Amino acid sequence: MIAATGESLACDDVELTSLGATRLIARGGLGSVEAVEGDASDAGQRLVVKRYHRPGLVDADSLRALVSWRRNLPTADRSRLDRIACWPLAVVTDRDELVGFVMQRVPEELTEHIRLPSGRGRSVLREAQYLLADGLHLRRLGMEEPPPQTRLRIVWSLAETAAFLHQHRVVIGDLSSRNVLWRTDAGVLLVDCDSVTLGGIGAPLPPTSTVDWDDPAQPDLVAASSDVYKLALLVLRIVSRHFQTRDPALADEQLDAAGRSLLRMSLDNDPAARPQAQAWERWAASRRAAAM
Amino acid sequence: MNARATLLPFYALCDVSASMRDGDRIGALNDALAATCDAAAMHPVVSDRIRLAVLTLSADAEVALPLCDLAMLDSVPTLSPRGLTSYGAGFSLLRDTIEADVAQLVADRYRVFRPAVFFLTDGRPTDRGDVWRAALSRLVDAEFPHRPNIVSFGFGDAEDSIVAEIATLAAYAASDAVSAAAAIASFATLLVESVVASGTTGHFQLPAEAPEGLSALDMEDLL
Repeated sequence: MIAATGESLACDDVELTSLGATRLIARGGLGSVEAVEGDASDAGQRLVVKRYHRPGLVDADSLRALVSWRRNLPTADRSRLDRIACWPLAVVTDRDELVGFVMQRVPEELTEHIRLPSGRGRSVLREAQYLLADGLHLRRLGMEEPPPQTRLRIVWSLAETAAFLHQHRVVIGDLSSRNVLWRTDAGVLLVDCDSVTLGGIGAPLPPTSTVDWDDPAQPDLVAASSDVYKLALLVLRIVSRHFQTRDPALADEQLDAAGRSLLRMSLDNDPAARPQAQAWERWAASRRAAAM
Repeated sequence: MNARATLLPFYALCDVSASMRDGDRIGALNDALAATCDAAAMHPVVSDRIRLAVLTLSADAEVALPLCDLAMLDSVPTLSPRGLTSYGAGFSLLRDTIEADVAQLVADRYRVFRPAVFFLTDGRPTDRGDVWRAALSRLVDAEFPHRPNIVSFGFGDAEDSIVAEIATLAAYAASDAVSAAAAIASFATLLVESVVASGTTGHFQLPAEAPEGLSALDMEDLL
């Protein structure tokens, strides 16, 4: 059992063999994700291991820092973190060499069963990329199309999530339509959390941006101002349903005056001219209040 | 709405000569195409950036699936084996098809990356060497602005040196240890991973390592 809620300062690594049988459930560019059979953390989460293809690229100390930081959060904040991010719960080693980390398995409610052109069906993570796709594509996949109000609520959740992490001096780094999932209640869950930085400590993985989700002003930096830029791209593209646009005018119809203004400021080429994530959070709070 | 979006066209040029009947090679190839279409349709970010066409060659060549947006695909084409192995017919049709497709995409206001061709064959060409080589030259002609990057893949009776000669980027041969159907499945892995990685990164990507059952052929002699 993984001590997901342990209060101790120590950050004990987990030996791969102690996890027992694992089963491959997904292959990504940097690693594969394997389900830990028949185990759960003491917080009741089902667990998976992300095993890196090339562990040598990973900064083990940064990864351990993320694990310790989470364990030492006040309970309420830790619960909130677990609700919004698949955070590293423990570093996994094999004969003392880092091979990956344990994280919560994405809950069923964030998966979707889709129908493919071959006629086959399969289960996929409900990634924000499906919010960008047009209605015809979604209908062909057999997915329900989230209505405009749900899109707005997802955008508000994103703003609140970014603000919460920034308050804790966590910078997300690689924010894109592939590593944000959404829940049926319009909450969000961040995946691929091994590219975040914590209080100025480097990320476990080298900085990366997904194509079309780069910050042209500082493409090689992991910075809170870049998170705000990418948050704005998500807002823009989710409400306007465009994959590649950076033109804030395309969201004019869907956003109120304050949202339109925040969007333009956040997409400013000068990082210093961009608002903080907290400004987006205040906007989200006011929209939520207005919607009540 | 799509003004200035960028696209990467993929072309699968598949040998469907009579020998593809053996050991259900054609079934494995149809599975490979289905897996490719599924992978792109499953990822809207990928289908937003790539287009796929399937061409076949035997005694002649045909477009089995015109260049399309896989998000809008109703069903995956099923290929059937037939006749000889005219590489020349395949390369000629490919050149003409690419030329017409790119012109249409540009007219539709897309920016278009250099097309990527995945060429698959299980035998030696039955047309004359000077004939198919002339058609290949026309396809990869430096004066042809949309000359594709070619990844070639041979198994069965295919000749390694010819498979390597056709490639501009990478060439693969099935290892003797695996069945033809398993080799085609590895080809599918390569194609699917390339489509997904290219669609995600916005430019043409090949997996760094050849999938199990395939070995990369040396192209150095040709450079």
